[in-house]
Amino acid sequence: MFLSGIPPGLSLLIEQDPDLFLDMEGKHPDMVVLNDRPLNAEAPAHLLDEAVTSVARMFVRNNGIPPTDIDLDKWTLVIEGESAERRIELSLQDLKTKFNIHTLQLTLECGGNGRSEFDPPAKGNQWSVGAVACPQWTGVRLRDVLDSAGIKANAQYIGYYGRDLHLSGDLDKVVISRGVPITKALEAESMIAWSMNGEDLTIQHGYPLRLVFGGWPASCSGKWLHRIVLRNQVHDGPKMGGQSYRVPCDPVAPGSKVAEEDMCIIESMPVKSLITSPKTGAVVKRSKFSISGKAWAGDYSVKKVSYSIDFGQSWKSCELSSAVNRLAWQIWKAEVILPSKGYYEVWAKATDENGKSQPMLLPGWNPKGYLNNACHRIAVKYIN
Amino acid sequence: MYLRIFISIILLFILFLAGCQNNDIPIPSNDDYGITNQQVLSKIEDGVHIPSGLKAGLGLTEVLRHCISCHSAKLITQNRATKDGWKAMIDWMYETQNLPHLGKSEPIVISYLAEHYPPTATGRRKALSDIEWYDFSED
Repeated sequence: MFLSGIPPGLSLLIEQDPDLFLDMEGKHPDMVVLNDRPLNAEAPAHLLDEAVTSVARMFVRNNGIPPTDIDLDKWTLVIEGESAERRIELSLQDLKTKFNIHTLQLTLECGGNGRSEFDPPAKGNQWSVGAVACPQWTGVRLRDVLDSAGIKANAQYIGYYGRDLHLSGDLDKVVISRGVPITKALEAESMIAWSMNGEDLTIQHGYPLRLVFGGWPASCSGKWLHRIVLRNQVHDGPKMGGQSYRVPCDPVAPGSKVAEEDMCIIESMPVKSLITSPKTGAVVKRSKFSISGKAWAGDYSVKKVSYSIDFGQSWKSCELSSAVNRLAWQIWKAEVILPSKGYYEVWAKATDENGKSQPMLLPGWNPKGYLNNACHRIAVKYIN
Repeated sequence: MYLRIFISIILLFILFLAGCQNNDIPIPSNDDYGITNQQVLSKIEDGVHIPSGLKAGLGLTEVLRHCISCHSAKLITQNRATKDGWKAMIDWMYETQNLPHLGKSEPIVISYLAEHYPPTATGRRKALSDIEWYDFSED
C-alpha cells in the first residue's frame, strides 16, 4: 500500500457528527454510553427493574460496526467446519419453518461487567454494573440446526462468524469470532434467535440473527450471525485466544503479568445480584421501605439472596422467586427497616446452588478485569 | 479543477479505508494529515479538546492523529494505565487490530496518555461517590 498512518481524511473524522457512529435509537435516555465507536452502553442498575428487560434498557457491546446493507431475502446461515458431516445453508425462512420455535428468557452479561472497579485498572470498556440483561428470545435450538448438518463424534467446539465490520475498515478482517464447547452448544436453552421480546432484533442487538447462550459471557452470543463452524478443537477465532475473555488459570496477585498459556477461557459466569429498586441515593422519611432486584448465577440457579444495612455485620433473607426457565435471572424482594435516622448502605448478596456467594470486596484480580461479582450496594438516607 | 476535486475525494475515501491497515511506510509529516497543532489548539476550552473530550497537553495532536481514526476517544478517556500499560495496549493494537506503527510519535503518545490518564489506587472497594440524593416515598 502507498501510505501508512492515519488517513488524510482524519480532520473530517474528528469534526464529524458523532451520531454517525452513535446509534442509540430506541434506547432509554439514561443509558450510559461508555464508547461511541464502537458503541458500548450500559444501564444504571435501577433501569433493570423490569422482570423482562426491554430493548431500550439492554446494554450494547459492539466490537465493530454493525452491518448496514442487510437484505433479509439473501441472508443465509451456513453450518460447516471439520466436525460437520456436511455443509448446509439455511435462509431465514428455512430457520423459521423447518425447525421447532422456542421462546425463552435468558440472561446475558458481558464478561467485563464490573471492570471499572479493579485495581490496578484493566483495559477496555469500564463497565460499572449494568452490562447485564434478561430479555425474552425467540428462535430455534442451536442443536436442532447443528443436527441437520450432522455433528461428527470428534466435535469439540462451535464458533460463530457475524457480518459486522472491523473498525479499521478492513473488509476481510473478522471483528470477533468466539464460541462455546459442544456440550454448551447442545443444551436445550442454547438458541439461534431472531426476536427479542416478540419483536425483530434491533440492529445493535444482532438483527437479523444471533446466538444466545444464557449464563456465559455475552461475547459467546454472536450477533449478525451468518456462519457457524463445528470444530474438532477449541475454536481459534479472534478474541478466543490471548488475554480476551480469559482469566488466570491459577490466582495471581493484583497487577501481575500473566503468560497467555496460563490464561483459561471463561465459561459459566459467577453468581451475582443487583438492587434495582430503589435507585441509589434514596432519601426515605419512613423507617420501613421495600427493596427488590435480580439475581443470577451463570449455568446455575440462585438459592438465596440476603441484604445487609450494616456493612455485612448482619444479613437478612430476601424473598426469592424461581426462574421462569433455566438460565433466566431470578427476582428477589425484601422489606428493610432502618433502626434510626442517618446514612445507610443496603448491600445485596446472592448465593448459588453450589454454595458460592458474592464477595463484599472485589474478587480475584485478573489482567482484563473480568468476572467482578462483588456485592452491589445502594446509598440510602433516613430523615424524619 | 472539478476533476481534481473529484479525484481527491476518491483518494481520500480509499485512504480512509486503507489508512488503518498498513504498517510498513514511514509516517508523513503533520501537514500531510490535514491536521495541525493550530487546528487542535483552536478547539481547546478549559483544558479540554472539545470535539474529542481529551485533555489538553503535549502529545494531544499525535493522539488525535493516531488513535481516534479507528476508535472513539472515549476508549482513551475511560481507561487508566501506566506507561507500560498504555504501551501494552498499543502493542496489542499493532498485533491484532491493524494499527500502523506510530514511529517517532509512539513515545510522545505514550507519555501523553500516562501523564493525563494515569491509574489511581482504589483498593479492594471504592466508597460510593457522586450520590444524587432524591426523595423516595412509597405509596
